[in-house]
Amino acid sequence: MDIIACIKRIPDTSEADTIKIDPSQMSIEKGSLVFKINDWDEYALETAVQLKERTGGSLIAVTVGPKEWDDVLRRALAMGADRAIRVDQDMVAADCHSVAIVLAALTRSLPYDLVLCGAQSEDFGCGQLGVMVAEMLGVPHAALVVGLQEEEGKVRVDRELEAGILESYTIELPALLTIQTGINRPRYISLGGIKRAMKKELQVMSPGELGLTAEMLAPQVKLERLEFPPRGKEAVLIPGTPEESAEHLASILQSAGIF
Amino acid sequence: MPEILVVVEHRKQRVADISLQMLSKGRQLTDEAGVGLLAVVIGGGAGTYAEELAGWADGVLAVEDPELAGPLAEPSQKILSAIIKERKPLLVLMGHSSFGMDLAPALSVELGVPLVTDCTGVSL
Repeated sequence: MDIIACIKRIPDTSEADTIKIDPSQMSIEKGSLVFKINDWDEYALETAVQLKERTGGSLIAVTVGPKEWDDVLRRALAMGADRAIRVDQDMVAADCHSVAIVLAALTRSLPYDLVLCGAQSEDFGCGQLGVMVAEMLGVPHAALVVGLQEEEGKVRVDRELEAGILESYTIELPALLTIQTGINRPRYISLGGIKRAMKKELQVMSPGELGLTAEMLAPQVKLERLEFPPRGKEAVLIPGTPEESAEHLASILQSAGIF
Repeated sequence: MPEILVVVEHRKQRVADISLQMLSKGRQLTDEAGVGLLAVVIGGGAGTYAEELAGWADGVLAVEDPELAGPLAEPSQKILSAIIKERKPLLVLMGHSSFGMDLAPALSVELGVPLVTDCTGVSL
């Protein structure tokens, strides 16, 4: 099975002490942050590598971003992708729709039975990209996939719904799936593994080589500013030692009739 | 008449909470703008929700399809795109749910309209 895995590089805010919005109000301050592959995309990659190990075929990891983004592609190569392609485009002002146009154009130029994306990104969390690419390619899709089994010319997938309900479908290939976290356990990649993967091919393309112009990539949705959500008015801080605040909390819960 | 359209989700014979929240938000927006509020419900038994939804919206479009037990993205996309092309609403509200995430991005590409997901506030 020929597979394309779409991945994104994001700032790792989980280890940061505080998150600050920079003076432009268009981004967070990234100076002290480390960057990594988007969590959901790592699960999509692992799904792709496992499928490739079972069925053979090719696995190409792709991304749309500036040169620094090569590090997540190197990681994908170390995980088991055969080759990687980065479309060199600064996505600062881009929206999901513009990125989807690039990925759809790139995918059309490659052999594929299955395209895998993360269900959403950790930074902007739009959850739009994969399904947009599927619609542009004119192939069937399923979003939020938590289980996958290949069959002849099709895949059987489980989707996660609300309240822990699973929905199962059989989808004919070629198709696109967006992968939910928890579908597998992404393999550990050592620094040595990444170094060894340096021998694999990492190709860089321009949007122009895919026949795309700046006009075609104009965003439909533009960011105006970033801000922190307003502080809730209902929050009550209970001061005192742990014992005192626990006692106070218990009396609040008691008077609310909770226990 | 210009209108705001709310796509209503239902599962297990119940209108989803997110849909009720959207109808409430939609009511506030339509009152401010002086436009209509239309609830669209699709699937097997869609008609059974019409009365409940009529309490919230100015109009209800129930698309009955016995083949559709639950909300499925692909057939729902075909139905919704036909409705949206015909009625040309100002704004369409859908839940950022497993159903909405499977459907909204494809619908927005098909119709060539912008999409903003995971909204926690909306104003006109």
